[in-house]
Amino acid sequence: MLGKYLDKFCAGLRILLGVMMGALAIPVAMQVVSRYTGLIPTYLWTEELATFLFVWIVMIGSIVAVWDGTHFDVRITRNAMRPLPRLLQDGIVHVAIMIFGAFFLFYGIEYTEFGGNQRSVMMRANLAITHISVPIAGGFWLLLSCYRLSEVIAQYLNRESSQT
Amino acid sequence: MILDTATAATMLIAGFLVLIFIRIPVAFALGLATLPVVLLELRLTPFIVLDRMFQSYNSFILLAVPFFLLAANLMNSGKVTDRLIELARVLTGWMPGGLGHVNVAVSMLFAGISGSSTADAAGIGKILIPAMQKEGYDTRFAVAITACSSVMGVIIPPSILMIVWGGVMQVSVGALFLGGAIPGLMIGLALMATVYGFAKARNYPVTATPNWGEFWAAWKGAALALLTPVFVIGGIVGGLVTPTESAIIAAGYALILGMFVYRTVTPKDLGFILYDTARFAAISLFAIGTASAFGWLLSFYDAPRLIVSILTAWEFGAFGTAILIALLFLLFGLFIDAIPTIIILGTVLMPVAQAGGVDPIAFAIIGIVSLAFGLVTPPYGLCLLISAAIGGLNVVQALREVVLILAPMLVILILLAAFPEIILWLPKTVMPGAFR
Repeated sequence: MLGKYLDKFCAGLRILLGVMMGALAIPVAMQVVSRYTGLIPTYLWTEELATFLFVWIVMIGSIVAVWDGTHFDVRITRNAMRPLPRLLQDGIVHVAIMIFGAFFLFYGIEYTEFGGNQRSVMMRANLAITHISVPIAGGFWLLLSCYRLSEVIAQYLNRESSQT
Repeated sequence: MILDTATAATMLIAGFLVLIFIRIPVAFALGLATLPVVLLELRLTPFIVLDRMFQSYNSFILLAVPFFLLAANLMNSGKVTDRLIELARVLTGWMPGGLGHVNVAVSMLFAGISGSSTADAAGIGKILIPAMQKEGYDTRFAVAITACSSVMGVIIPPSILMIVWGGVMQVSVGALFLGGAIPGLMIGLALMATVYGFAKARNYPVTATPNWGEFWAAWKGAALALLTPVFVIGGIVGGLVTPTESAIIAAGYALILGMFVYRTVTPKDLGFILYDTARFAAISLFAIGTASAFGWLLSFYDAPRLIVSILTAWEFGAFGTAILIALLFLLFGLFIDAIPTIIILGTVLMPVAQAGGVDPIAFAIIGIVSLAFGLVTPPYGLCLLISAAIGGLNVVQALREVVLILAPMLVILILLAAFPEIILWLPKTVMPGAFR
């Protein structure tokens, strides 16, 4: 049940990623148009807005990739075939991401507060709007990896029970 | 406690290696390896990992990466790739091993437009690997030549890796683009010579000898796409646009071609292309953040100075230093994605290159060409993984052909180390200001 909700949530994030990628093109394109055509005035905030969007794209993309299991890994060892080694091989990856997620969540809250005390140079935007992406990403890595770990454990238990 | 250089560097590097050995994704392994150090070290706070990551994203030049990827994806979806293949076919298809040459030639054309090797392998592989199988080519050869020729995407300008290199190491991106042009062409010619050798040994067929009508039609069909490198490379080298601006222009141009000129990209396609670009860019760029934190910690503990003092004590000279640099990039490229490698190893080796008398532009191109090998060598050969998946092979099955095709490329890498003027001649001629 939770898996369905998480799947739908990540489907929503995929749509958001596409929209943000399109939105990212707007401020950068505005810079080019204003510099070379003079059709619109030179806005100083475009570079800052593009960087803000960029940070969010990276963080949201990292959440989706944790759910899809598409972060690049290196496979030097063979795939484990027996249930227990398989559980350890897959489970350890999820546990590692959970640890990093917990780190991001815990220290990210302080980092957001730190950002909240600063304003951007051009837009005078409160920097918490980007810094908050750190604990959010950390929290979702933790949640999604936790769910994936529960799936791996359930698979292990199913295989064990079918063998006995 | 206060960690010394050797302890901290060992904890970071050994920790990272253990983590990737147990299959932790590279981006997370880089970040996780920093945690014991920042948690133990009294002079640091864990906060620093987050801050270094964030600082690395605060770079306008990095925005060029998603836009070049977007341009490449739009080219693939907009059937621009098909037009380039048609042009490559009339230019090279008449030679023995025709489709093999077409594969190399179209990768060179695509490289001149996109700057992404993975987009090259995916876009061209989807069309040419099945076509080669149909014409009786060995699938292992079709997969290997597609993967190996796609690496020109990061060597022939424009190149995403050169943009990252220029941004991280404060080197002129225009000079890097020019520096990659001749090595890229040399690799293209070497690959075509290898295809010729395979064709003679295995009796691979000639595709077709084009008549003048076909020749003209192919040029006309690809002409608009071929304008892309003119304004991308010309714009950057001429100092008219920044790399990020050139990337958005390339993406905008590809969008206009796909949606309005060729009418092959629908609004629905565009939505998926935007998502797919953001997804792939995010995965690559997320690793930049953790690599930056990792690299910053190495610098904090003065590891680069330690490495420089050890390596310079050996007094290799310029050639020896260049070979050493190439070997280290080749080794790292086997296991890590090219972008984090540039951030970690590139910054560490920069002073080694300077001390050894290797020009920064030559250092960059030798590093990038070495990293390009990593795109087709397991366990982390992304282009080989993509091509093998298209051909329905396991990566290991194509390895023998890959090694044979890479051998001449390796000779070119040694030539670049021995004669850096091959790299430097064009940028010195066109952009002498970049060398002052």
